Amino acid sequence: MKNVSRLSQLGTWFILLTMAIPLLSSAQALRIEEPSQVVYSLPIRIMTCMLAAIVLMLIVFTVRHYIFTLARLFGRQRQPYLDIEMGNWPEIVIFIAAHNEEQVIADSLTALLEVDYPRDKLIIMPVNDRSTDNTRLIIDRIADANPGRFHPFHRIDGRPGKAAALKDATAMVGAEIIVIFDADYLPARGLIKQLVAPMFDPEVGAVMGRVVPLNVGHNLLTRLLDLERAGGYQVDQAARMNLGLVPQYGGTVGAVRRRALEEIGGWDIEMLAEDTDITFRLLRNGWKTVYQNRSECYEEVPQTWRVRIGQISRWSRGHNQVMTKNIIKLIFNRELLLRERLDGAILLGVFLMSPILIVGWMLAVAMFFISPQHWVIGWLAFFALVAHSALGNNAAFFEIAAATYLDGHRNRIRLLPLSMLGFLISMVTISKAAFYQLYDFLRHRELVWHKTERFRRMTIATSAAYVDTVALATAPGVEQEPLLENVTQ
Amino acid sequence: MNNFSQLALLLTTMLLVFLPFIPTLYEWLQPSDDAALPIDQNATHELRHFADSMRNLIAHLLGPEPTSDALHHIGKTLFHNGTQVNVLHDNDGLDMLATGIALQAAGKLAHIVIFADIAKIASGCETMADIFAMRDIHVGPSAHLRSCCSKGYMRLAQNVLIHRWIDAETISAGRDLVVHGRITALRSIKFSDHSQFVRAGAPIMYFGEKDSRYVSAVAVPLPVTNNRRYLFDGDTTILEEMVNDGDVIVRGSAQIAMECVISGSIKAHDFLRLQENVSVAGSLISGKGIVIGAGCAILGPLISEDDIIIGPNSIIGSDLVPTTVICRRLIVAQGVIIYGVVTTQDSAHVVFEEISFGI
Repeated sequence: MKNVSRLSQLGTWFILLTMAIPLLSSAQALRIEEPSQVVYSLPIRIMTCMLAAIVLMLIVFTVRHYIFTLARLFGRQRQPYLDIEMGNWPEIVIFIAAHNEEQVIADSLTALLEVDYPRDKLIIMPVNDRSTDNTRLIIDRIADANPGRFHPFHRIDGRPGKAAALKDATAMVGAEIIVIFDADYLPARGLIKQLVAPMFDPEVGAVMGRVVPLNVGHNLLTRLLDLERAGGYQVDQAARMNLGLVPQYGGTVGAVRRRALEEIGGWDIEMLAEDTDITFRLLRNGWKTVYQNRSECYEEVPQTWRVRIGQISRWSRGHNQVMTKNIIKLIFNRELLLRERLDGAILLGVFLMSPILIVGWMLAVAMFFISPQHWVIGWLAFFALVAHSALGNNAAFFEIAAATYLDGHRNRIRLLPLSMLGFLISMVTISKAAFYQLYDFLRHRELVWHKTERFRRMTIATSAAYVDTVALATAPGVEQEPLLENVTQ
Repeated sequence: MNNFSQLALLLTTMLLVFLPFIPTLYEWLQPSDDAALPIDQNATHELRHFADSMRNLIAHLLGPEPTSDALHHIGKTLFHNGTQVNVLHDNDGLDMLATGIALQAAGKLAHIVIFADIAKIASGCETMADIFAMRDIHVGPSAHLRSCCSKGYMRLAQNVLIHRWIDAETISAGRDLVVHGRITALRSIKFSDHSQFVRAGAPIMYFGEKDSRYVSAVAVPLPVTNNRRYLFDGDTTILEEMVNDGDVIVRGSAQIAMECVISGSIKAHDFLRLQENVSVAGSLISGKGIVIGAGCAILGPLISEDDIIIGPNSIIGSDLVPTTVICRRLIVAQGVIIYGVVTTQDSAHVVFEEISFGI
């Protein structure tokens, strides 16, 4: 027992020394180099200020990660709506957004047939957005096989993009609550009630559930994405909910109140990230977004780096687009609490941190070689410490570690060091996307929405739908579909 | 520093840098935890999960509707997954229940005890067996049971303690009932004074007879669809002429004046207090406590991140629209009727005498 106590004391001293050394070196360097003794050139001054600002931002994000993780691990957990079992359930419509989803749409529709929401208050509407594959035929076949359960909406023209499709679909129904899934999601039986339950709170405008990767074991990338998702939802989103901050509506496995949507002007079809846009417009108009950590739904994560890079590029562009639209209005909105404005602003800036971090690294290296001031070394050390904390096991990755602990599946934590690989690739991708976004903005180019490629193989349900589809397609006068080969394989 | 020291330093540094990658590479090359996380784990959290599981198990063991003859045919013991299940019949059952001692013994031996006929648990009986009664069951005073399920009527005498859950078609509870878990019924539950539970659910739950000293609730208002939302900043008292056709959100404490009729939901960031005879055709949500005056009628749900106090003769939910009450601690007065379910974090207390809560 005595040894344990001594070890803990030693550990505490070690941590304190580790923290203190760079700080002391900074202070020492600053004391030695008095401004009167050194001639600062303007570029050095600018670079110093930029570096200091970047360090400050990194510290903010580092502290934020720490607070979220500790709040999730030790704080009061807020899930006030999860236990709502009975009530006057409102009329809802479930949109399944689908664009060329022939591989996955059947599974999603089949899963929705099993949900326990009152049937007389439930409309299931597959939103087939200009698909050029067999998505339409599959949807129609499943709808025909289950009369009265589906109300398909086949959108054949109009502006591309999920927001535009959802806008058209919303205009077709009058349900009070809109629940949205992407076509590759597999909702569990009780999920719909859980997503709708927070809407009994008249202040809630949107609800977000937890996304859980289904194809985890496919390769290293899917396993790393599983860790990333766990950290993002189990800790980050849950902590924001616990602390009364700004949980983010993610565009799928979620619900939006129609009245709130109309109040903020509906779906903005200019937005690539319509989900983030909705989150912040709702917030600015006095509506809350609720995150339900126990409302889980399977999704398919990218299995190749190419698709992953495309996905994160789209997220980056969309998020930054929402940031430019909302950040000023958010910061100066006196109707909101200070903590909401602060968290909202930080959340909006998340995708800017990658290019900023790269600039910070470049500045640090440049100043190391060109700056005549010794105190820069102290700052550099401090910067290195903070950067390590931001990148290393003690901040963002601390979230992931906590998430795997909370999920109870702890062996996957062993892959954590490799998350650095995913982090570096994401950082470069996001920075590149931000650069091209700026370039496109200057050249007045329109942002284009790209669909994420699916990897799931055809299931029995989909195959059955195909077989029926093929039977229809081979009827006299009907053009033969090219998917016959797939079915017979 | 000599060459050996430099090499040792280099190797130590490399070891420290790459040490975390050893389990990483092992996990990558030989995955031990690469399955998708299990979801939809809320099944055990559903109020009736254990009761329905027990009923399903008994139906699996004995058949869905076993006759009395069939039960006597089964004998006294059967086995389920290697565990002995005792089936107690009229004669031996009554013998044992006279003292409760045999039932204690059965509890030590068997995981499940099934009463084939009308069951009576003797006063002071303590058992850890899971009890299932094919017909009515009467539990004597001061009995301590682990869990108990009845296909018929269940009468609990005073001072009964339930460690986990009880379920029946209809339950009538005596004074000082303590349920550390769930109490559910398919039709109704009648609570008496000083009852205590954590979760409860039934189509209708009565908390004593109507208290004649207080006003009675008007009928629970029917739900209406509305598109208005009223926002109030700071502590606010809502009068009927201020709002009656939409949702009310108060960013502070809210007080709803006597006999107000509100056809929407009410949310208060702080305390929410309803005076007497208020009717609300929607939910009540509060960041702190909710106090509901006498004779109020609320459609629900009621959600508080702190405590809820429901005054005498109030009605929560309706027979057509059962509802949910969620809070940290619930205190229910005499004459209250709740249609639906109650879920508390700490416990719910049924208190018939008038006491001051200092709110």
